[in-house]
Parts: sequence; structure tokens; C-alpha cells
Amino acid sequence: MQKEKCVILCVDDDPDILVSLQIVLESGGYGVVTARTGKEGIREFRKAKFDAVILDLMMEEIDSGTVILKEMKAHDPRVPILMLSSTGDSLEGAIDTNEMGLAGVFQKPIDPKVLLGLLKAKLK
Amino acid sequence: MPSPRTGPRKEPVSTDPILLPLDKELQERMYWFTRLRWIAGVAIFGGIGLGIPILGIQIPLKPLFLVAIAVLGYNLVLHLNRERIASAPSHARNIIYLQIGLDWAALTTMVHLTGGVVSPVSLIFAFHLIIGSILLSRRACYLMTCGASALLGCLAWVTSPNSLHADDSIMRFLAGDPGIRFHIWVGLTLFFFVTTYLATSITAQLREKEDALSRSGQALDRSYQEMESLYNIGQLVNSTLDLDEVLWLIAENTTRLFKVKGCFVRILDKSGRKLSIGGSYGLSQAYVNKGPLEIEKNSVDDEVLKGSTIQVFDVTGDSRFQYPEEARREGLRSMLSCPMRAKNRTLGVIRIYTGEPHAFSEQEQKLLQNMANLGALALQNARTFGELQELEKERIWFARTTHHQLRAPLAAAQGAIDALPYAGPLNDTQQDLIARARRRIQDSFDTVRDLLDSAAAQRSQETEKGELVRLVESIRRALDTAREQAHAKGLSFVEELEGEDCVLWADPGDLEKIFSNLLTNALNYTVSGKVTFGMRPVDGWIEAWVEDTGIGIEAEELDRIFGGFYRTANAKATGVVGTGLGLAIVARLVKRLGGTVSVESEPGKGSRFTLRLPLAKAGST
Repeated sequence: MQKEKCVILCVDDDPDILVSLQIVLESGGYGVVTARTGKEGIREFRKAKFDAVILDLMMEEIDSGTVILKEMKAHDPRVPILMLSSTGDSLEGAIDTNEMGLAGVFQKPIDPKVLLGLLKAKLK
Repeated sequence: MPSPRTGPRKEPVSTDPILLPLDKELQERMYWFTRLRWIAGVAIFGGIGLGIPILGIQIPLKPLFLVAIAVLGYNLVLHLNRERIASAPSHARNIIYLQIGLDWAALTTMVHLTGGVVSPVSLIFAFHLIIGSILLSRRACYLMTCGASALLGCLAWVTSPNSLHADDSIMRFLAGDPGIRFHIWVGLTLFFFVTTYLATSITAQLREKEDALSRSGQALDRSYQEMESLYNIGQLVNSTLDLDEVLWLIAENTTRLFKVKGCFVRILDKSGRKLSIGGSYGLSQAYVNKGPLEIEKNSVDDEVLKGSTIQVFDVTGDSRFQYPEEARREGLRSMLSCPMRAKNRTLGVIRIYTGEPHAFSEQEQKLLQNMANLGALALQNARTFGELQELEKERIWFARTTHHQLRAPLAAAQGAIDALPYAGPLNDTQQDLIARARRRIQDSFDTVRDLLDSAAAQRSQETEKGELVRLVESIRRALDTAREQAHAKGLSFVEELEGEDCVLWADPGDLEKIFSNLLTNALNYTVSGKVTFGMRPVDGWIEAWVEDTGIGIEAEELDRIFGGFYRTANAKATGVVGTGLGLAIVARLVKRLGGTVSVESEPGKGSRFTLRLPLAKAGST
């Protein structure tokens, strides 16, 4: 474990998902800040320094996730952002992860082991 | 409303009229005249050569030779200049009068030289009158006849035995008597008038028949041209499914077909009470956007929509016209309008405007009706296509939304269950319950995914994505996954690849879906042995197969496995969870690619699914 506790911002409009994420992440020794809307997420992101962001790709509107992503990247491009998607592969528009500066796009629900492993690798 | 186009556009259909070859006819007759004159010139030499020795007539040779040479001489001049004369048809008539004048001078000289009015040569005037009646008007012919009579009258007056150049005694005897000269002159005059009368009457009758023939020929040509134009326009307006472009093409080509000032297409809205601007050609933006078109206020449109064809001779002064002042400013005078109907439905109206007062013939009215109906069909096609596209968009949106709505709660539930162990230690019973819940949630995920894939496989041909792809490249991921899964299960995975460079026209996503479904099935229902993927080119096709040594399918079930929502008894018995949609998706996607899928199977031994997919044709892009 790191000496200083890493803090992760979770943005999702589904409170149940946020609760699950919080339990998993806290058990992994991370600090967690949650946001229920894109606006709230951006506000939090500007307020404090986060070590990573977990972002829902498709919130109220189809593209809101990508809009938030762009704003966050404009504010601080160094923070790794993981996107979660609840849409199936076949209808997913191809997302260029490199172009968007993403740490990765994952299909919901994400396996807690995978998530923790990934964060560990990213936040070395 | 169509905006002015600047880009490359389709060339309008040509509708040039046929020009009547009236002048050509006159030219041809002049050539004929020239040819006759060669014969006449030679005949004078012949007459001299034959007449003197055989008939023993004594005539002055030298002047006659001179006349013959003169005739041939000016004929040669005319012959050499025939092209220049032909290039100035306005002078053709004057040239004809000049020729007649020269011919008569030569003839009169010959008559005078051969015995005056009593000479048989004077009868040759009759030939000239007959030729003249073919070339010239009836009135000119009678004037010529009077002229011939007057000329001979003068000759009769001046001729006396002393003035005769001919030495023949009979001639001298006849010419010597003024009474005989007078009688002969009267007889010739009578003969000339009768000849002219007969010749002009016959010519007039022939002319009439010729005119009738030419008129019906013209009508035939016109009909043929109209038919051809309509056919071409039909092809043109049906060449696109873009509604604005269709309307614009109708307006432009109608304007050109009728050679009028402009054309206006208005289409009926869904309420059937309002006409909106469809397309226009040749009219200013100001006129096109002059104001609303209310059917109640516009009796012309009202009647046209009821099915009549209406023409307004003067749009600037007709009370039925809604905007006479604007029409005057636009320079419009006459109008023809008819409904655009397709399959018993009126879709709109079409109007054509002339800049000059014009009464539209019945034929023009019929032509506009045909044009309007042709346009209506194209319009309907474009509309239907537009509606289909809208529906397709809506369907995709619906599928996406539904998919999201179905998956979101499942994902939340699974996320919560997955988080459970992180909230505190669980006993064995709790872990078992969690495993059961997870499995059922996964089943639901699979069902949602397959339902969506099956909906995507049904999307219409028009929205089909495609590119030139190599089969193995586009299904690489599915093959890699299958190989890993096979090894994990202790099965061998065999690839028999031949013709890897063959190119297909397909959506790579579709190909991956097809083979990932087939390979997953093969792996799921094979306990031991091997799973094989193979491909080879077979004249114009790629044959690809997925073969397993699994549970197999009963013969009576083979027909049903591609139908959807069907799982074989053997499959259910394995305990593997499935939705029964996988093969239905395969069948639909293969059909969309223009291919076929077939299956051979033996229960307990294994199955082989064989696909035939068409190779991309050379030149496909």
C-alpha cells in the first residue's frame, strides 16, 4: 500500500453502482468521492486533486460521458480515467481510447478483482 | 425547399425540335433543273445534227450553236456555284427567276432563229411552264403563261418571210401569212393555258398530299420524341431518392421538355389542405416565396387537386389566380397546371408558365399529365424511402435505449453482489447463494445481448455497412478466443486455412459475430476431441466451416435450429445455458451477406456448419 491514501472520483447516475464501487474501492484502501451527475463530477474534479476517475460512459444523455471526459481532460490531462459502459458491444460506437486519453473502457459490471488490479497498476 | 445548386448536376434531357427541310426541297429542285438543262443543251446540238440531214430543214447553224453553247455555259456557272447558292437559301427564289429569264431568252432566240411563231420549237415553252408549275406558285405560273403568250405574240407580229433566218420554204410559206401566224399564236396560247392549268392542278394535289404526309410524319416524330423524353426523364428522376433533388429534377426537366419559362411543383402536406413549395425552375426566389398557398383561396389548385387539368391564358388578368400582380412582375403570361397522381393518390400539383400568351394544345396537356404522373411516382419513391430511413433511425434508437434500460439494473445488481465479499467475510452458504445469483444474472445478460444482436441482424439493407475484408483478419479475435477456450477445456483447436487472401464485401462486425457464435456453440457442446475452423475458395465463393466432435443434433431438429428461440434436447441436457438465438443470428447475417449456411450432424459424433459467402466482385469499392 502507498504511504498516502489514493483518492478516486466515481461518477455515475446509478446510486447502486456507486455504493458497490465505494465498498470495493474502500476495501482496497482507496479514498472515494462520489458524484451523481456530470456537473457534480466536474465540480468535484476541479475542487480537489484525484488520483483516478471512474466514469459512466452513458448517463442521462448518450454522449454526456464523453463530454465530461473532455472537460476533465482539458482541466488536468494527467489523471487516468476509466470509463464504464453499460451498452453491449454490438451497438457501441467505436471509441478510440488513445484519442480520448482513456485508461480504458470497461463493460459494466466490472469484476472487482479486475478493477482493483488495474488501479494498482495505474497508481504505482 | 431545394437550394440553388452549384455542384455537378445531371444533364437535362434534350428536347430539340425537328426543323422542316422546306428550303432543302427548293434546292433539290434547282439541282434537278440544272440536270435537265444539260440534257436541253445537248438536245439542241442533237436537234441541229439530226434535224438538218434527216428533215432537210435549213436553219442558220452558227447562231444556234452559239445559243446551245450559251445555255451550257450559264448552266456550268450555276453548277459550279450550287454550294454558294445553297448556303443562301433566301436568294434561292431570285436565282430561280434568273434561270427562267436566261432559259426564256435562249428559247426565244431559238424560236426566232427557227421560223418564229410557226417554229415547232415554240412548243418547248410548254415544258418550261410544266417545270415552273412544280417550282413556283400557281399565280407565278399563270403570269409565266401570259409572258410566254406575249413573247410569241411579239414574235408573230415581227416575223415576216424577210426576217426569217430559216431558208425552209414551208416555214416561209406559213410565216408569210399573217392570218396563219395569228391562228397559230391563238392556238399556242390556248395550249399553254390548258397545260398550265393541268400542271398546276396536279401539282397542287400532290402538294396537299405531301403536306399531309409531312404533317403526320412530324406528329409521329414529335410523339416519338416526347416518349423518349419522358422515358429519359423517368430514368433521371428515379435515379435519386433524395426528395429535394427529385422535385428539382422534375421542375427542371418539365421546363425543358415544354420549352417554357418556368415550372413549379407544389406538394400536398399530410392534412391534404395545404400545398407547400416543392421544387421550381426558371422562377425567381421572390416569386417562389411570394406567399402561402391556401387551397380555399385558390380555385385553380382546388380544381386541379380534384383531378382536372387547368389552363389560364392570361395569368395577369384572371380572377382565379391568387397572385396576378406578382405574376405580372415575374413576366408570366399563360399557365398550364395538372395534378401529380401516383397509385390513385394526389401528391401535389405541377404548373408550367410561359412568358408569351400561349394556348396549350390537347397534346401538350396530355404530355404534362404524363410528366406529372411520372414525377409523382418518383416523388412517392423518395418519400417512402425517407420514411423508411426515419423508421430505421427510430428503431436503432429504440434498440439502444432498450438495451441500456435492460442492462443497467442487471449491472447494478451484479455490481452489488460482486461487492458483497468486500463488505465482510461470507460463510459457504452465502457464497453459494451469491454464485447462483451471479449465474442467473449472467443468463439475463446473455439474453439481452442476443436479443439485441438479433435486432441488429434484421436492420434493413440500406443501412448496411460494408468494406472489403479478408475473412481471417476480420474474425481474428473470435479465433483467438476460441483457441484459448479450447485449450482451457482440453480440446484441440484446428485451423485449415486456404485462400486467406480472398476478399469479401462485408461488415467485419457481422463476420465476427457469425463465427464467434458458431465457435462458441462448438466449444460449449463438445466435451472431448477437437473443434475445427476451415476455409477455402470455391469458384466465386468462400466456403468456411466450423466442425466439432460434440453432442450433435438430431436429424428432425436440424430444420429448426436456425429459426430462433429454439434449443435442441441434447443442448439443454448439457446444462449449458443458452438463449436459442445464436444460430438465428448467424442465419440472418449470412443471408444479408448474400451467402448460405448449412449443417450436417450426427448425434454423439459431432456437427459441421458450412457457410458459403460470395467473394467481392472485381471493381467493388
